[in-house]
Amino acid sequence: MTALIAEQILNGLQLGILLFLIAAGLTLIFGVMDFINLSHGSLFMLGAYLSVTFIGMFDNFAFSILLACLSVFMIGAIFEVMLVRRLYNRNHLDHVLVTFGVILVANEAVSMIWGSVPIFSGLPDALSHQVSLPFGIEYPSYRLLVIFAGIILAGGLFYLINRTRLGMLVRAGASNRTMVSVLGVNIKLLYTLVFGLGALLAGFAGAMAGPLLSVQPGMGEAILIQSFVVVVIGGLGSINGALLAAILVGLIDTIGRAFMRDILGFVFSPSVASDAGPALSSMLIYILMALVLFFRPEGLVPMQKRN
Amino acid sequence: MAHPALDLSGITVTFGGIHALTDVNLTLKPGQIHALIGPNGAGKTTLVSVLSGELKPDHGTVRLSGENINSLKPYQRARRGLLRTYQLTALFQHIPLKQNILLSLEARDRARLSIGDLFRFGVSKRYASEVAEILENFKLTDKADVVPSSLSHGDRRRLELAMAIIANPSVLLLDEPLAGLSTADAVALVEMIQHQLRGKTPVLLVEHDMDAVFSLADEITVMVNGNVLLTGSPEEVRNSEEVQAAYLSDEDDF
Amino acid sequence: MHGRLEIQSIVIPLLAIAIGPIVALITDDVYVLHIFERALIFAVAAASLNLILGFGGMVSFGHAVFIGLGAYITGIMSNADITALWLQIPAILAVTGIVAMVMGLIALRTTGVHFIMITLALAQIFYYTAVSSSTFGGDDGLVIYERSTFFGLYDPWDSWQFYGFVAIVSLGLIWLVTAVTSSDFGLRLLATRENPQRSAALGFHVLGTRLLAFVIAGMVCGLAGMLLANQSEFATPGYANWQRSGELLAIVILGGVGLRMGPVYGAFAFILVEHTLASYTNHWALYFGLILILVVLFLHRGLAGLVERVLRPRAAKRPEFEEAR
Repeated sequence: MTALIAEQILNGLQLGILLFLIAAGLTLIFGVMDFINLSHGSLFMLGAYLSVTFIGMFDNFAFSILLACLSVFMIGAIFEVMLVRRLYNRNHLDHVLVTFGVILVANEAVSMIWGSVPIFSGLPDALSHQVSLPFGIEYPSYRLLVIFAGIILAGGLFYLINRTRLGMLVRAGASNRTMVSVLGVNIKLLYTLVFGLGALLAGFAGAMAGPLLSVQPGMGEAILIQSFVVVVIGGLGSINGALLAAILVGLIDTIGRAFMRDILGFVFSPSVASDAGPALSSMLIYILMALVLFFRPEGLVPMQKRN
Repeated sequence: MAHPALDLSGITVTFGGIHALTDVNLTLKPGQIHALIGPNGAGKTTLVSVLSGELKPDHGTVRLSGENINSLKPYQRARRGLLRTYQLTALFQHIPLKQNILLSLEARDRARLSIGDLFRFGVSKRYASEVAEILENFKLTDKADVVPSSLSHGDRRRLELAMAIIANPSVLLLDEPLAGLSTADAVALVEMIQHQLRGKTPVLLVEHDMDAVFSLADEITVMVNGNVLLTGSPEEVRNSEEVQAAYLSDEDDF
Repeated sequence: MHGRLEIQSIVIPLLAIAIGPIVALITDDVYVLHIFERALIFAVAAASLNLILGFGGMVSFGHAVFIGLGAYITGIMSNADITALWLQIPAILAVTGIVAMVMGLIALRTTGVHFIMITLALAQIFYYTAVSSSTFGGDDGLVIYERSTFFGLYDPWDSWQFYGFVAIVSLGLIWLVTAVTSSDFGLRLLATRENPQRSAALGFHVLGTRLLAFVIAGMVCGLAGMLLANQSEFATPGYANWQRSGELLAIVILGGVGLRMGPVYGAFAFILVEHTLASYTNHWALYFGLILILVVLFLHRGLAGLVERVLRPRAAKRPEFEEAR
């Protein structure tokens, strides 16, 4: 039982890290550009498809992931220059609609190129075994890699934001847009870079998640909605909040799915539990979000606004 | 004795430890125009927000005709006749001027939300003659179908004032009604306030334009740094050395 | 102008219900009636969304939940042999009304992006309930074996009579929403959209006004769900998922947000694009996505705005047709 719970906690952590990578991009883009990007999930999907394709072409796992990330970064940057840039001074409704349109286009484009049948990408042999962890836990090595790679990337992101000039501008831009523009910074370039960075994070998440999920059109949507839940719970525009909320959502969602039926089984009849269990566990994070918004409308770690 | 139209006692507001208002007392007598002046940051706008209910004071009570209205929300205060205008004009930007006025008349006669509103039509017909008269009075007739966002600043100020006056307030708060107006427009608006409000409606006037203040006010309260420095007649304020030292000496338009 | 009935608001819905039969007669193909039934149903749903989005400024990303609710209640009742509309409609109005009330009370505490997200989250809660309720078909949806009836006044299985039923209900609901927006209440709703602070300073109850609009929109949309359930003989969680809510938003924008007849134009355009493209390509959503992007970028005030500009070039700047912000 302990091993089972520990395994689920690791799974939750892994989901949380993937969610953080996507939510970080969303919240950065919202914080700096005040832009709602529904099509962020499509970048996740692209990352997955491209990595699968590159693995098939080059037969080198690490190189393929890297190439996929860079490609998604480029695609994100081009997307920003061609379309997103025109929308910064529009209202949020327009953002939602245009990026909703982009989702439709991206899903169809992907199914035209790769077909609408799910693709399963095999793991490299070196990563497809179980690792023995302390306390008798057996855990798939690839999932462990996802957790570590995610932590490293998240660490890199925090370093970038808190320690570098680009990060300084991002933080300044998030709290005071006009200030950055008077500093004589090339604001257009900054925005493109931030968008590209967000795309890269989503692309990486997609590339790493590819082997764990079935790669298919529309795969970005489920995770997009969850990431938005994370962003809202954490506080729009707040990276720290996104990290906290991502781990929270990842754990709650995973553990809820694994154990909700058993927990309900203590109180209700088995048939009720097996009916209500999955429903309740899928709802958990939305209920959490509604509660957070009700009691702390600005999220758990609100973005600091300076006037 | 009749209650004062508006009575503030001991109003204190702090923002994160900083005192924005400290123990402010102010009495607005029926029929009077009472001006509130003071340098920037004196807390005048904060005080107006406290009065209209948009900001809760830490201490102190606000009384409207003797009734404690501390716990009332802005819309409830408005229904008791305490209306305000805004420093930056706050109009319904994308609906025509005439409809802005209709809304104000509706608020006067039937502010309460009721299911019946769903089945009532023809608000513009019902008020047609009254609206025409108001437009005439405030020199807005030819702009009746224009939206406020494309009006001139002076027109917007007049509309803002009109919307507050026609709702027949028991107390009116005017938050810098002359801000940003040209001299000619300002004179016209002062004229309008004299004509429409003098002796009828008690007014609390927050204003920077000293000419306007001294020509309109029956009584003046001077605030500095969140404190009331002095309350008195225009003569007393003009002659007070304290006031001159604190405020008026470096004011160009005095 | 406000409070005055516009000829357009009367004529356009009448034209909308007439097109289907005309096309059916010309092509001698009863099947096309089904396409126009769908267009009318989406027009009703979009009109209800336009009430809160266009006139109330509330960007709900969960409006499809009410289609889902309406469809499921209809399906569950019909399958339990309660097909009478005089029982079904009150049930739908009661449930959607209560759900909208609760949803509104939670969501209307917030504004802006938070409002968009919380409506989305609340709709997802319903979606997952439907997905996992195995009694009502779960993921696969609920097949409905009986269509609704109304004192035997029409035969629901006759294509023409069923179209008549859908058309009359749709017409009534579209006019109803139009009437609400033209009423005194509609003017107050506009005021809360334009400037909630000022509305309150005049003495209006902003939350109450918004909530009432939200509840009315939910109930009307629930009836659209009732029509859809009858039309497709099916109720599925998919009716309530967030893509459906996104489509409803898209229809409103396509037609012209805040324009009374916008949803009618939008729904017909949407269904016709879907139908026409679907017969040429499996990837019709690609083109719909492109159209949506182009409309938002370039067609300010949507199709209804375009029609307005063509028909009455001088009236096109009329302020009532300003979009929600």
